[in-house]
Amino acid sequence: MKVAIFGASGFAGATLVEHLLGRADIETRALIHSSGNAWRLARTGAPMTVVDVTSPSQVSEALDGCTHVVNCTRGSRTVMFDGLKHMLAASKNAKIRRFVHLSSVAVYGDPPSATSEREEAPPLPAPRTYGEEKLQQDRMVADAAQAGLDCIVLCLPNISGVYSSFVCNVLSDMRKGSFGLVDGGLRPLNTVDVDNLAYAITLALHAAKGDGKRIFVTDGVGSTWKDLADALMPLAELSEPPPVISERALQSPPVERGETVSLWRSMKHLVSSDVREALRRDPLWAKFDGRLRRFAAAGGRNLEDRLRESIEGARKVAKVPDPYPYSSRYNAMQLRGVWHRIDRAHEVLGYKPPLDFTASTARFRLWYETMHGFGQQFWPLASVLNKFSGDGHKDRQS
Amino acid sequence: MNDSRFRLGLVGAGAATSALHMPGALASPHIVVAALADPVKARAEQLARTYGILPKIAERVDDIIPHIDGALIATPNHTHKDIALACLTAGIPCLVEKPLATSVPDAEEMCAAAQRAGKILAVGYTTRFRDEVVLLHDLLQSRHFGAVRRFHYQEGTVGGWSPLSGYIADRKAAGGGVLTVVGTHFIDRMLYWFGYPSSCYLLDDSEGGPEAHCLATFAYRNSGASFEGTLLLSKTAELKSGLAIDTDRGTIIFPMGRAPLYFEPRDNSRLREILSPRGPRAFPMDKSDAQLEIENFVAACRGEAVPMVDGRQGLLSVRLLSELYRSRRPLPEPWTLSNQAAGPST
Repeated sequence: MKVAIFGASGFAGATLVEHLLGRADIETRALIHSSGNAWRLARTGAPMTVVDVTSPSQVSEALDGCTHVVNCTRGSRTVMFDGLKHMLAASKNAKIRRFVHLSSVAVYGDPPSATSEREEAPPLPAPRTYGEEKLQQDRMVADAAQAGLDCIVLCLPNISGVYSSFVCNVLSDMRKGSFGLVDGGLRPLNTVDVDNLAYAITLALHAAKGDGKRIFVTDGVGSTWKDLADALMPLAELSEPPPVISERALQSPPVERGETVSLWRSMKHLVSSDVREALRRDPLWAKFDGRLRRFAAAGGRNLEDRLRESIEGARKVAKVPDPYPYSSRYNAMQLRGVWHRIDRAHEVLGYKPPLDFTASTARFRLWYETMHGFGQQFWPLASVLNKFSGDGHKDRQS
Repeated sequence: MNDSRFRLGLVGAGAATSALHMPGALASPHIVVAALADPVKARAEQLARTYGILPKIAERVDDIIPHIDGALIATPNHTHKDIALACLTAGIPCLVEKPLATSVPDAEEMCAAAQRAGKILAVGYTTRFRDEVVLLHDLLQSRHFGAVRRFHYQEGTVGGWSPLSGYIADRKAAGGGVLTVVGTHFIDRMLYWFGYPSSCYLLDDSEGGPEAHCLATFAYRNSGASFEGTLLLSKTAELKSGLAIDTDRGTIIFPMGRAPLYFEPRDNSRLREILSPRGPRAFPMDKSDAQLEIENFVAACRGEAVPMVDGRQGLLSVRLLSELYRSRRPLPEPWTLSNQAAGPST
């Protein structure tokens, strides 16, 4: 088996390459976008090939001699759609035996419906969201499967484990005090440890037949956000758990209505000081504006003030709201009140997560402690830097 | 054209030249970019078009030497020596991107060539061109904060700078990994602030390729001082960048970039002081680091200044990097799985 891994320098891709490197039965071709993000792979000395997935010829060339493909790419819409299109077309041409694609539970909407504990639930992402983009990708893969390419689609929640930015970000928000536990943190938490994911991808490469339909891959059901917060508390150096917040507290504060659209308002805006200041950068306009101002000034201070008031209206003072403490984006994520079940992964792939939630968070802690120097002699100084915010010296108002 | 302008040759038309050196040179009224050399000629031509200039363009550095007064070498690290030797032997002073070279013998050869030629050899450590860096040096030298007890510097991003040639993924071409590519800037400043350490050792995660994460520890046991310092660098973990120094009087905090210096006195937990030099800044904030560095090089070539970092100082950095790599031990990775999750075999 010779596996081409697109997006091999990313979080999932690099972990997969590390899993496969030591195996005699699998040859790996690590395909990366640029060397700048490939440090984790580069350290192993593994050969890497730079491929622009938006170039059909480069993608075709990259698959030369390969039997299997894994798509771990992320990026702009061009990468997501053109890149995937080229990968699917080149895979078909190269008679690739298995195409493994990574999807996301975001396709089921935010929050997802209760029925999305199974893959068959209707996907309902909001327009112009990441979920909608991933759904479009899923449809492209399903079409390719219908056209004869053997595809497996693994549908993932947040990826946890060592090197996980998701877990690092939750930890960072806990330290900042912006993370709260919605309704006590007892709502479902869906994660897949990155090593469980690499294991699932390996199973997908070997599975008998792919049908291009989504398969949930998680660490299993039962974990909650409180479990995650409890596991991270020692690293966050918190003596108390994060505060409990209500679902209602997540509602955005009322936004002041914007100005209504009218020709008069637009005309006033055109002669406002903001616009005139911008125009004055042009020497000709500056000259014209200067004359206009001298003309108004000749009429006396009152005339000048009345003109300004009639154009710009009364001075407005914007409301300065109290800072909202619970700004972590992971607070709203807790409203995703469903565990995605992995029965189909077990049936189709034989997947049973090798690492449970406890083992996963324990490994993350070990990784974090080593990488950040937690508990080492220099930790008090590192901690000063981690907590440091230099913004205090800035003027409140400019 | 003003004939008194310094004719600078840029060697290497990659990402650093495009983003930093070219705009830095063009911003200076004292300099004209007279030539560009790159083995991929089309890349140099494109760069000239991008900036709307008409320099002499060549694939080989030898071909631009007659047209320039000085060369700025921004090529993969392992090529610095040969290019600098070609220039210096021809009497052309050089500003070499950091690190000076990938080995101590190479750096020594470059310094010797500069000395023989009587020409300037400067090294591109741009982070020296900040008033706060000089201020911290002066305050430490005068023991303004009492004795230093410990320092810690950290810098970490997941990925980052991506040179066109991709040489940073090649241990031989870069001369090392994150320690060389990123850490060399701090090592240069560390040598400036604290001097050369009595001993050092390195833990890193290299498995044959360039290290992506490392922890260097330095011991200072010279002239009455006795303290340790650590340098934590990563290309695989986000670390809040900055330097913290524990002293008798309190903690100095120096975040990255052009941030001010802060001091938190030990005897007042509510107070944070901002330290800044009195009088006008030696390094104006409206000039980029690259412009300041190139102007310093040009002034040095004209005998009007000394290089901020000369070849000898660059050599010390290379020597310390080399010592660290020699002392290198593998970073423990207790989270590594045994092959339990390896999956089925074919």
